[in-house]
Formats: sequence, structure tokens, C-alpha cells
Amino acid sequence: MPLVNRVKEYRARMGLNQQQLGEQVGASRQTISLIERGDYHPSVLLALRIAKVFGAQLEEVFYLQEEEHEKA
Amino acid sequence: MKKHKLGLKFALLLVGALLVGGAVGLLIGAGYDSIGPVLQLAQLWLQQAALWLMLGAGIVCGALAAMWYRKGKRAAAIALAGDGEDETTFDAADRYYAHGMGALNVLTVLSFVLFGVSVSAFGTAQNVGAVLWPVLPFFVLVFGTMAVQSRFVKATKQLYPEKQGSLLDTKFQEKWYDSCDEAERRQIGDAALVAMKTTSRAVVWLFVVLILLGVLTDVGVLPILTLGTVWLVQTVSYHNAATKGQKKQK
Repeated sequence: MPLVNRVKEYRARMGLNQQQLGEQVGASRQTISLIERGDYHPSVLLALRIAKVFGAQLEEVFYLQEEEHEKA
Repeated sequence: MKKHKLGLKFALLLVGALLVGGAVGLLIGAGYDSIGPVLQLAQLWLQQAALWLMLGAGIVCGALAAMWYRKGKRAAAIALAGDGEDETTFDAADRYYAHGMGALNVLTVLSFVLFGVSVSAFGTAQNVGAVLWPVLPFFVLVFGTMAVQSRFVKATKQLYPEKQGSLLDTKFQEKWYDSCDEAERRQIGDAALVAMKTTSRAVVWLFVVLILLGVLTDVGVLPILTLGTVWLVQTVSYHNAATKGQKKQK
């Protein structure tokens, strides 16, 4: 069950670019890019920080692939 | 089943190594008498050519670094002028800078090695002045490389403003690492592991080569002691770092 995320979607909705989001959560632009592409799974701490910036619950931003069907 | 397969693989590896070792030993044995003179000739040639090889390395690595620096700067300018969403250009700039730094790191190692080779003729050379010739180009190369590396660091900081540390600072690596986030630290860890594994393998192979050479001709104890020191330092430092890491996790 791969971990997927909706960081790009939330970020666009908030009008932030990768650098700006990175600054808010203490990560680099490159790391945000890697997370969005699914090439890096963030730690719980970073994932929580990202969800907090979006004002969302952790599992709304990060979830296991299987859950996608349940949401649809 | 898995253990059985692993055991078979290990046994095959041992047999393969035995066969290769035997073949190499036979080949070397066939040319037993010529090994010593050939090595001496190669050493003499290397000592005489070290200066030119150092300059050649400087030109090649310097040109490559300059090319990647220009390409990186161009890509970075495009990426930074955009809305921050152009991942391809950001990645390209990053990659060019990494290649450039790689070329400069290789040049630093080559400069030191070739300078050492050149100066090693000091004890036996008739013309001492010729042996000391590489001193000037060596210092020019080392300090020149550092100056160019500083430009790469500065350029990288434009892409990643959160990065800290100056190349002239003795704690540069620590400060740079501290300013990295979790993903970057993981990348550094992965790279360090690959470097450690590769070095360990290289050390073992070099030991085999040195032992074979030691049997056939007089290479002295210095090469094997040097290699042993490198191996020991690597093993002990890895063990210490791993132990400290375990303590931190507790």
C-alpha cells in the first residue's frame, strides 16, 4: 500500500509555491518537490507540519493508496 | 530456502575468487623476474610525469567545472526568475552544480596524490630543483580549486537560501549538514553508505593486489600499512558513529 499525498493540490489551493511552503514547514524546495512526486515519504513531524499549514487533518493530506477508493 | 541460496552464492563466490586468484597468480608467476623492473620503470615514469599529469588534471577538471558552473548559473537564473514551480530547471541547476563540485573534488584528490608522487622522488633525484617544481602548481591548484568551490557554494545558496556554512570555515561540513532538512540528510546518509561500501571493497581488492606484489617483489611495508590505516580509521569511525547514533535513539 503506497503512501500518496495531495500536497500539490492543497498548495495550489493556498497559492503557495514550493519554496514558500518549504519555508513554513522548515524544509527545502527540493524536499517539497520530492514529496509531491512521491519520491520521498516525510517523517510524521514534517507531514504534521505540512497538514497544519494547510489547516487540514494529516490523513486528508497523506493517506495510503487503498483509502483512495473509500474517499471516492 | 533463502539461507540455502545465500550459502550457495557465497560458495560460488569463493570458488570464483579462488579461480581468479589462481589465474592472476599464474600470470604474475610467469613474469616473476620482470615484475620488479617493470614497477620501478612505472614509478620513475610516474614521478617524472606527475607535474604534467597534475596540470592536465587541472585543465580537464577545471574546464568541466567551469562548463557546469555556467550551465548551472543559466538554469538557476531561469528557475529563480519563474514562479517557483519549474522543477525541471531547478533540478537541472542543482545537477550541474553537483557535477561541477564533483569534478573539483576529484581534482583536489588528484592534486594531492600527484604532488605526493612527484615529491617522492626527492630522496633519489639528482636534480632536486626539478622535483620541487610541482610545489607551485600544486598550491595554485589547491587554492584555485577552493576559490572555485566557494563560488559553487555561493551559487547553491542562491538556490537554497536556508543553507549555512562557508567553505573557509573548518566546520563547513557540520554547518552545511545542520542546515539540511530530513530528506537531504537522508540523501547524505545514503551517499555515505555507498561510499563506505565501495571503499571497503576497494580496500580489500587493493590488499590482495599489494599482498601479491609483496610476494613477488619488494614493495616495502609502507603501502600495506597505509592501506591498513585507512581501513582501520574507516572501521573505527563507522563503529563509533553507529554507536553514538544508537545512544541518541534511546
